[in-house]
Amino acid sequence: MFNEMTDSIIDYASALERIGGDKEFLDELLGIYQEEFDLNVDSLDQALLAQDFTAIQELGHNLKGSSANLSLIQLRDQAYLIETAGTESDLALAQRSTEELKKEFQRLKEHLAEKERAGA
Amino acid sequence: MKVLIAEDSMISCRALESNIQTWGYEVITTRNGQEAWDALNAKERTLTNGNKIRIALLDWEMPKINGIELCQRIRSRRKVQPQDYIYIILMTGRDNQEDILQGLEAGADDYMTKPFDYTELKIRLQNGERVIEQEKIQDQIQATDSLTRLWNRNKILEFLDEEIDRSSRQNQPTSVLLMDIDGLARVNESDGFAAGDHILKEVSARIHDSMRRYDKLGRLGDDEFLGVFPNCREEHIQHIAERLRRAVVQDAIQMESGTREVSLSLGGASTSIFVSCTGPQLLSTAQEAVAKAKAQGGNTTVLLQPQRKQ
Repeated sequence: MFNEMTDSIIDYASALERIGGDKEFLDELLGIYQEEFDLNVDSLDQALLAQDFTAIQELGHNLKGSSANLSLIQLRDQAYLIETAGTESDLALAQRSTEELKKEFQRLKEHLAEKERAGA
Repeated sequence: MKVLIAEDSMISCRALESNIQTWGYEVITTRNGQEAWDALNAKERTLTNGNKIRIALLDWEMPKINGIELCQRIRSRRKVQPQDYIYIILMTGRDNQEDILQGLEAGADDYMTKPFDYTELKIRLQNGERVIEQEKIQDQIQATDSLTRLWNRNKILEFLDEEIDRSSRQNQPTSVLLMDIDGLARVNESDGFAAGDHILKEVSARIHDSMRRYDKLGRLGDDEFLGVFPNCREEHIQHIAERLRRAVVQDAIQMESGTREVSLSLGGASTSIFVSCTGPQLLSTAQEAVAKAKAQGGNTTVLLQPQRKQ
């Protein structure tokens, strides 16, 4: 049921289409995504503290790319805002979007855990 | 065919790697521009033909060296020294006209905007492969001597340099034989250049057919040929030289008017674990040796040892 699910967390149809319909591989990529996300968000927190807008822009860009690759729509949009905040040196926007990004990531984790329970 | 991926996002990198491997390519993944540049310059990867990176998928925005700069480096490297053409696809989240033009101007062959469709990527890689195949044919034509169909001067000297480089790292010997057809100038003078060309073709074929598959032969110019013998010691090169000399001398060459006896002077030199030297040093020793063989009346081999490098 979850595999067909398309909502604002993840667009399964387009993510699967992009990687040739391999569901196991999508799971592997989602695993890598979570690892990479944690690393990026740690760096992002540090960049916010240091008000390093170049780093904020780069990290936002990176997160945007990874999220877009897996059709994680809300995460991609928040990452895009972080990237823009970096480009425009807008600290308030960067902080706001990072908080939203973390919330979205939490939603994704819950969604994936629920999916795993349903599959098990 | 080997494909290099330079992509800082772990997720994109893994997705690309998996897909591209499924399509039958060998993949090298790197996570930033510097790593990619190092991979492109790694000696081990350029050792044998067909084993080199021929397609590069470069992310536009990467730490250290970005995709555009990497693209420019790859293209300008080829101007400085002969290099195989690398087909470059830039991957970018940008899709505005100006950025794309900047990418193409930097030397990219193609670009894709992210997130991209893998079916489209597959087709774009196939396009790249077609271009590389054409380049290979072009390179082959450029590296071939039109009369003898052997490698030309540039190509055999390039091979010699690569071989010396490789063998010295692996502590293996390399030998060369410089071969000069005796009295060809006289044939050209008395019977015309067509007769001389006929002899050149016949002699080169005889030498070539008597060599091992992994030994290489090229025409250095006029009546001079250079053979490069990887992993071949001084003791062995004497036997090889004798075999080649006999292959040329044993049967007279059939000419339009009758037959003609032809002989070969050979000069040899080898590197060893005791004597390491550069390609030009080895060649100049072989030139000295062939001059001595000529001075002894031709139809013989002289071996000399290169001077120990200071």
